Amino acid sequence: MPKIWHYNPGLECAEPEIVEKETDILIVGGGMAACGAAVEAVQWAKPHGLRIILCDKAAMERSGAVAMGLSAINTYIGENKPDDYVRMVRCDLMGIVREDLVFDVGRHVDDTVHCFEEWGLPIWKKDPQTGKTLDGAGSKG
Amino acid sequence: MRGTTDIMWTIKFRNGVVLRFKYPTRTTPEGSADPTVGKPTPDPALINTNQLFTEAADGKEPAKPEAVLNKKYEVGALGKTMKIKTA
Repeated sequence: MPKIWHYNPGLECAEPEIVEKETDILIVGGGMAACGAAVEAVQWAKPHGLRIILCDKAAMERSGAVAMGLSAINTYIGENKPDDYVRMVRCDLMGIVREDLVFDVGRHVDDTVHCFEEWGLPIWKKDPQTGKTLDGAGSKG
Repeated sequence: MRGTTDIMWTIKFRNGVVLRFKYPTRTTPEGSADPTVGKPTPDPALINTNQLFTEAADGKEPAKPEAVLNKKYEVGALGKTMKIKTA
């Protein structure tokens, strides 16, 4: 392989080791979207022999997927309809939206949020009795 | 201070008040998350049904739009005209 760098020779991060891999599905980046795509890809494609690689520039444990700053889930449809969500996003972004894509997010997001809760993300909820907000650990179960 | 299940911090005010905060960062033990969420591998025949594997397992049909919004607003209909400045 030829060198891919032309500056800072000798610096470790400027001379990364080059590894060639073959794959069927390549997922670039290790944030929320990529990790979600990877989970789906493993379920749908891996049993049928397809190879999946997710590559991230840094450590996955510190990628966007762990959402170190996550304190709120902005999108949860609940009792609303995906149509309502499209209207909200359309209004929020002054009409400059792809409504088909927004609708698609709206109709699938709840299932994803339920997965996060199952995996252990503390989700703050209102106590139906007192109306007070419960912290994540208290609201589970 | 960060443990495997909680994050904790303390605020000490100049007037001596000390507040301690402790919030859970997860509700399950580290490493216990099951990526399949206990659902079976989806039937490959369902690949084009636009379902996530969890939705396929639960037989949940993706919602369909009630109405096509995509409303186009004509500038002329608002009684306004658009001017484009040229140099």
